[in-house]
Amino acid sequence: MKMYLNSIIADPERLDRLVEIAQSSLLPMLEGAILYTIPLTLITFVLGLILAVLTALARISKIRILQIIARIYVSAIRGTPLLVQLFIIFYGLPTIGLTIDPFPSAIIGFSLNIGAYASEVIRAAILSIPKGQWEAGYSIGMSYTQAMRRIILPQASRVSVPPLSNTFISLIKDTSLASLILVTEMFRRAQEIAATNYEFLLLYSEAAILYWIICFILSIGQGRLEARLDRYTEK
Amino acid sequence: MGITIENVSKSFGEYLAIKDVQLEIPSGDFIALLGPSGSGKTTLLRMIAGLESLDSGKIHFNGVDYSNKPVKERKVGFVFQHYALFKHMTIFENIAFGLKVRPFKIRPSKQEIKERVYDLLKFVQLEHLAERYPSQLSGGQKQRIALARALAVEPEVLLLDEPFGALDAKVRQELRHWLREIHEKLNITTIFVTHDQEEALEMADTIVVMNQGQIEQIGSPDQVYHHPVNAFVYRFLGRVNEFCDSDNEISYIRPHEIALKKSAQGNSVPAKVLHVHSVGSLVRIQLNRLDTNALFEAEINTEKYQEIGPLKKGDLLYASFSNLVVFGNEQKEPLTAIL
Repeated sequence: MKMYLNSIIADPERLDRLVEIAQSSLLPMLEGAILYTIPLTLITFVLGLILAVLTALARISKIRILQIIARIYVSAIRGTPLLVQLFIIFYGLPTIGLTIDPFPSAIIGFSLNIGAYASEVIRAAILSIPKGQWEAGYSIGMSYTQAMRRIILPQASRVSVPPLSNTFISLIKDTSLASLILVTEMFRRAQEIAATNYEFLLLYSEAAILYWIICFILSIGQGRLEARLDRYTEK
Repeated sequence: MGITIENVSKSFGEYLAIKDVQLEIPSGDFIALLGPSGSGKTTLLRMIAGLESLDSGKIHFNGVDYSNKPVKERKVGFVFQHYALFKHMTIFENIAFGLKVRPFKIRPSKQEIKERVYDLLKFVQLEHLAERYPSQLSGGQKQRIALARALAVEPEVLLLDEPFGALDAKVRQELRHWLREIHEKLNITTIFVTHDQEEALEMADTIVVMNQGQIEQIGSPDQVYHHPVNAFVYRFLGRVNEFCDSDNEISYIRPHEIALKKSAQGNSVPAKVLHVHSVGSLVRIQLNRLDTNALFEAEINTEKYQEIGPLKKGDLLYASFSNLVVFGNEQKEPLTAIL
């Protein structure tokens, strides 16, 4: 640390060079964020949530085979590293003739991952809605599907916002793993630039700060969403 | 709609909640299922609604077997003890929802639904709350909205589970009158569950007294109050004094049936005052019989109290027990009385 700082102080040209690298790398990195990191996060989160709701419904359904499939899926995804899953999809599947481009590979891998983790959150939220809400729905003539869709899921979605926001924030950071299957997202841009000038500390720190800013902005959005949904919850 | 309950039983695991119950409910009746907690009254109500399955027996609606029909086909309106309003919807949406989710063919138009909801809101006197959310309402208001929601789907039976249990005394009193009026206006078969004998006596046309999963007595408020068939019913329907004589036979008398005098009369019994407390227009006096040393409670109105009082601890009075009730051996046959 001390050596690093001393080397900068002792050499004014070094400082200028660092500032210049930080500035010139900002644009490619932001481009990586806008073209890949953010779209990958958003698309994945939406697909993952759809998958998660279906998985949660399968797990609480009375149909045994659906329950079993959902359990195996959740167990397999949660029991294996995300990086390994991405490698299987991108580097593994071509062996059996299934070649998928980096970006779609990343979308598939991350969606499957979010689907499994978020399904547990959603399942818990559904189970947390009082039985009386179901019964009230039935008593005014609703079927299971109607009660689930119109009564239970809207309320469960409110309950799941805080834990799902957590999942979402983790996802933003996890997209950096996509750099390892050649998606030129933000962190891969940092790696590429660092490979040419060896200023690893500077560039990776810059990437970290950019991730932090993105997460910070999105967590403000979470607060707003919660406040909006709060208007009809019991105090 | 008339309801016939035939030999219905239900257990939860090892626990027998309902034991071979028979009950005939005529169309348009206003019935109270009265009993202590654990007596099976709520389970029976939920079975009528279809929220609980039967282990054996049958439930007929107008002569048709509905034992295995799902809730949505039963045309029942259900009012829950804790309201169970849909928290994520406005009051208007809560009431409208049962109509909105109907299959297209029998769904009223948007305009019709709106009119219906406002009619119901007017009916429960809460028109001004249409755009509020349930969390913004008081308990009494929530309960009225719950009733409006139940009525929106035009049920043929209205079922209420301890409808006023969670409300304070004054609101409860108001809502009792109000529900009575509603029943008179709509004349739909109404069944409510309560553990409050006063509520049952005040509101119902017919009281079904339940205990340990069985029916103890069915009758009008007068019948069950003045002609209880057994000690359980007698004790459950009001305050009671119990005297045990030398043969171990128990006789009962209600506090207000005991006459208190300042001087001996006929076969009156001397008794010492232990405690006096007035409850509004009534005065309750705890006494100690000097002949048997038994404790008992008498209840008189304030006028009467002014005649014999004021009383203080240790004062001597003469009590006559002219209406002692004896139920013989405390045998408990399951009742299969039918209205």
